[in-house]
Amino acid sequence: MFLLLATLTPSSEFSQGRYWSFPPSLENFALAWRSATFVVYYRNTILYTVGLLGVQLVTVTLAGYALARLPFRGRQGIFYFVFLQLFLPPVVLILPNFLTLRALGLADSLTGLALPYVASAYGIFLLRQGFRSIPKEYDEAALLDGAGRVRLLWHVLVPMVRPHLAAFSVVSLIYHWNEFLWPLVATSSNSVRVLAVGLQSFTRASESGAEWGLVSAGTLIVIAPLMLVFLLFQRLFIESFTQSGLKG
Amino acid sequence: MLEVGAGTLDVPGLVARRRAPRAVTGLALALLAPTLLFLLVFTYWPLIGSIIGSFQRWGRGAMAPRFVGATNYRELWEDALFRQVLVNTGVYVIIESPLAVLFGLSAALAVEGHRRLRLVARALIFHPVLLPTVAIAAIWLFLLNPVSGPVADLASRVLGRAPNFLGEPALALGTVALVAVYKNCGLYMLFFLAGLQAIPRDLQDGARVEGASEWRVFRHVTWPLLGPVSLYVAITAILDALRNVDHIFVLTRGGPANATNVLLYETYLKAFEFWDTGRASAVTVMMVVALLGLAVVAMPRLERGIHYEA
Repeated sequence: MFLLLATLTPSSEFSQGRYWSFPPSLENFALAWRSATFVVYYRNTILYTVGLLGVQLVTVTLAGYALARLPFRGRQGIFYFVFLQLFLPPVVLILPNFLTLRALGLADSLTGLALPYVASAYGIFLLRQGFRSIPKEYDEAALLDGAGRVRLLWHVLVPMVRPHLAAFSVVSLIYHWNEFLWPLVATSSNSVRVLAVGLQSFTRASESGAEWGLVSAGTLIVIAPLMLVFLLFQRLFIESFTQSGLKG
Repeated sequence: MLEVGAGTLDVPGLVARRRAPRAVTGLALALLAPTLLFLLVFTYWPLIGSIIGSFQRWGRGAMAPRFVGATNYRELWEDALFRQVLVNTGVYVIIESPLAVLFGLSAALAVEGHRRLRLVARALIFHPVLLPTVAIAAIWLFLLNPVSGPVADLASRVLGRAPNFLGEPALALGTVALVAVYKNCGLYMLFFLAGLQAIPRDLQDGARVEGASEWRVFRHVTWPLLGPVSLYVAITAILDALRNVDHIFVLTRGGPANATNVLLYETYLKAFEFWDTGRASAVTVMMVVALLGLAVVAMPRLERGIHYEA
């Protein structure tokens, strides 16, 4: 609410201690839109979040299925190997991961940005839980019919874990849409910057001039799509986040 | 569905220890291969790399790093500013996580059972979870502005003076922590709500019928049953406090006078502002040790919570 008021107030009035004006003005929006390259940031953020999610959905499904259903030696060890990642989030490892990207020649690229998140312990546990909640009879019936395990996975099991995939998607999209610190260090050119980083440098630039209207306009530009989707799919969002706590 | 934290740790392989056919093992490894590869390169190699790096000193330009033993750690320890960072981190975690958990729990208890209220609270308290931390910080930067911000305005009317919440070293760390509380408590509220809904209502109603006060119902019925959820939320809260420092970039940049500088922010400064790879690696190692310590403390407890539930 505050944001909306501040946005619609021209900065001239704002500095005089008046927090709203009538008629509302869109001048801040226009100014903010022009003074930062939000179009580029939008494109990058969408590419990054959606592209990464696409890859994650595959890795998470495969690994979740293997850990839930396939009896093999060393499963316990691998389980802990994956589990520990919950306590070692990539954001803590910004320095070594940055050095790795530089060595691979992938620093300052959207691909490099996504790599540390390809393996997601959180997603794997969510999916593992999903697969475990499916009665084993489905597997046995399909295998008896002569379907291979891959076909079983793709045609029978994946459709049944759709809610888990949806929950994971929501959480992943929001996390990466809002992400700041890792993109800040992993990218340096404006052409591969994402929204949160753009917003921060934008805030930094306008703060000195106390251009609050401008800052709030910038903030609104960044959060608008998520807020809109949230209003439309409130239930799905809430349930997804609730599930994220019930991983297991 | 509401077995919070359960299953996370009921380790597979303990029950059925039949020898698996080769083909199945092969398929499992194939399916896990991408995950394991990326975990190795981007989670486990960084640990080793940081440990090695923390014993090295990087020269200027293309000079190869040389081994300097524990010098980086010793110098960090002797640096009063860095010791302050450690203290700040501790204080920040001790302020932020309990408050966020407490607010989440109170909000959940307050709206539980009221359908309308729950819907409103969800939207009001939950929405910061969806916003980028930098955006939240930008809003608070404006609200807390000592000259034109509404909070200063209010404070000067009530207190007669407007404290500079982000500019005074004594206040800044607490203020930064409170902004994080605002951001996080909505998520914890959701977890608690789910936990509360899993508790059979007749247990609480039964206690009430027998004349127990609301506080006693909570203390002796609700709280023990919430145990596993609370534990999970507490661990999440500590993790969140350690790993999300985005708002500090917007609000204070570690200042004033180093007052809001915490471990992860210090890692960023050393690594990407001063390009001091050796010492930044040492700070990373300390951070990892703290997180692994948390994991070691948390894992057996989470496991016990599950047995308790079952």
